[in-house]
Amino acid sequence: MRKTIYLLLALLFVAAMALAACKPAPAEMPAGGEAGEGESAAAEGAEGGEGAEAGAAAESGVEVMPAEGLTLAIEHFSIIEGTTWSGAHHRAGQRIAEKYDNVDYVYREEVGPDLSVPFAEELIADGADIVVGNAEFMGMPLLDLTDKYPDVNFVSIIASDLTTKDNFLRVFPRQYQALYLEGLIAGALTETGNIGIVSAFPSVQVIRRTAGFYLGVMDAAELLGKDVNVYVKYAGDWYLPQEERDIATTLVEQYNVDVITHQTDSGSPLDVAVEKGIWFVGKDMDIVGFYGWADTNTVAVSFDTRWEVLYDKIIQAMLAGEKPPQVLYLGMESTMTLADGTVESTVDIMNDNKVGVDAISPAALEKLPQEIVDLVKQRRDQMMKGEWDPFTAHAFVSNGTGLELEGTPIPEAGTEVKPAGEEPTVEWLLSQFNFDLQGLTILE
Amino acid sequence: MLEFITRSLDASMIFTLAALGELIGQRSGILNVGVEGVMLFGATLGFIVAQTTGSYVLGFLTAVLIGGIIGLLHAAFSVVLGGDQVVSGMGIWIVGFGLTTYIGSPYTGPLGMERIPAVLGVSPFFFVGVLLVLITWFVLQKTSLGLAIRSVGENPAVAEVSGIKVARLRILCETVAGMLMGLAGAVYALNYNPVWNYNFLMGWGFIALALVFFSMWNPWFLLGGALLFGTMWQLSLNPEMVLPGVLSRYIWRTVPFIVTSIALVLMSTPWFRTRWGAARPQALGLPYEKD
Repeated sequence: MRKTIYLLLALLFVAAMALAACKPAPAEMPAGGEAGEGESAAAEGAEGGEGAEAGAAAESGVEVMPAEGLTLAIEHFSIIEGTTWSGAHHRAGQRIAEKYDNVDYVYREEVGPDLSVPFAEELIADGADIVVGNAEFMGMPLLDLTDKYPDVNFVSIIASDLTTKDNFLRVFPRQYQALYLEGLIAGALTETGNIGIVSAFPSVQVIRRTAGFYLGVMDAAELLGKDVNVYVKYAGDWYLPQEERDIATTLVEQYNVDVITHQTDSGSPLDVAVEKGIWFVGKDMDIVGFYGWADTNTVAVSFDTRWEVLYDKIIQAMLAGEKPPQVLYLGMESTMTLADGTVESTVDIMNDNKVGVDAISPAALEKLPQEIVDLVKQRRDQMMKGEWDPFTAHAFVSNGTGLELEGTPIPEAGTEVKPAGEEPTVEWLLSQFNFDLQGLTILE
Repeated sequence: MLEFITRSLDASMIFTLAALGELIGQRSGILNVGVEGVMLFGATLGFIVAQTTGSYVLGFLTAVLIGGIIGLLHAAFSVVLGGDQVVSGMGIWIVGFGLTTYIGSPYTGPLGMERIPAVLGVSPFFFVGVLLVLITWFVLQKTSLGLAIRSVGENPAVAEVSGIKVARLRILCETVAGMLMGLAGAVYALNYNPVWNYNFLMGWGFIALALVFFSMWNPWFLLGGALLFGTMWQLSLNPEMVLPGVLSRYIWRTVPFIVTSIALVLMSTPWFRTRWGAARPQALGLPYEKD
């Protein structure tokens, strides 16, 4: 009897271990795409508006040989499946591998800051030429490897730090442009005049994204002659499903919010929107088309981040034997042609697999005044051409709230930090934009 | 305020169900520190089955079934093989955390089903929880089965001599315990916050475990503790909803644990033990081998 139980338990244990071992990381994506596409993409990319590519090779003086083939390795801080952040990075790696015959994509999931260096060394030993940390907190430790592996380019996402080296590159998309368009739609949609944001915690990245959305809301309100309040409530971290749910519920119940969005990572705010029958505005990925988490009766619009456009710039430079730019901060004007011929910009509003004005949910579109739809189309077209940017067009007046940075206190309420029409620098936007815009209500 | 009260009751019942399972197991002498793992399994598989089939009933049944199976495995390891119960429990938690992340990831996102309707303004699981507390108290205190369970938890050798099948009873209790923990997980994932995310419980199972000690192995104390913990937990999520400007949520989050510490100190006094006659099962966590 006991032998049988021993055997049964051993079998269960082995089965559990075998199942766990099936977890697909690290995995290698087969290189795909048609021959010659890399060349055309390189030519297309070279034409892009590259004002946001700073610190290029010429400064380094390091001789770089053209690469015949490359391996792109992405260390994902979270799991991939079902996440909008790592999910978008993973899709980017896959799209790069599909586009270039001579580029492979490998990855690791759930890489914490303590693991990013050892995993990177493993990946490099296996042939990685580019190692990406897809969050700043676990991407920054890669800086320690830059001298040891001078031929490898390390890439880290920017949250608020802007440290670079010849082979330590920093990237981020201008998501605020798409968020501005979302804000236009949200500002027009609200009937109660109250919009809520479930947010993670004050950081330069969060403040910047919120500012983009808020400017859109305010432009819509001005155009329509409405009073609109935008409430921000911080959960304390990016991923706190219970807190996010309760904050979303509070925004609806106590602040009469009828349009909600979030700068957090769980699906709880979306679920509250479904439950309460209010509009939801998505972020990072097309959560309806890609994940099917809700339908367009709840999700008015979302935006999609195409990290592959950023990776593509790095890969093109390396294949051409050039040093990639040390800082890449690309917006809607920068595009990439995928293996199937689709041309996509770094960010765009997207919903239910549709882009641009078509991304606005049919149910929401019915409620939107035509002048708002026209404005969304106009601003999107202008940003695609690099002719207009919400952060250049608008003045930045401090709300007196935000994030105290070392050597950069929060400007007093009412201080005009930047006048309308002046383009803020990339460095300022990425590492010093530390205050909320005037009029936002930050809830304690 | 009404929203806060109903949410607090929802949270309390999740703690109640999980802790009640643990209490039953512990009264029979089996310690399962892997409550969180069992809840994760119940929540994840219940969520997947409910979403796939569109049936809440199947989702809850699956959660209860998987909880029972894990409880049975824990009992087999602890009772039949005489293994270390803490090691087994920790194994359940670790495997539960890893395996449910692997299994559940493709299902990340909202459940996407109509909400379970409220009964008299509160979740039906409130009534289920109170009823189960009543049944557990009645069985443990008023029936011969309850006497047998308490006996094997206090002194299994004596119980064996008096004709009680210790191993069989402990396996039964631990299986029922697992079923309740699985149900608790499903109530979380299908009713309280019906959105699957990895590691979504974030410590609820451990609070349920602490609650059993807090309750002095008494189902009614357990219910009271669960209501207190549930309210405090809910308050800590967003205290501004009820008490705007009064302490930060991080301070509120510590309150249940401070209360537990004070209560445990109080309960350890001879006065309390004499007054309430409540005490830890003497054979808790100790393997028993029939002579």
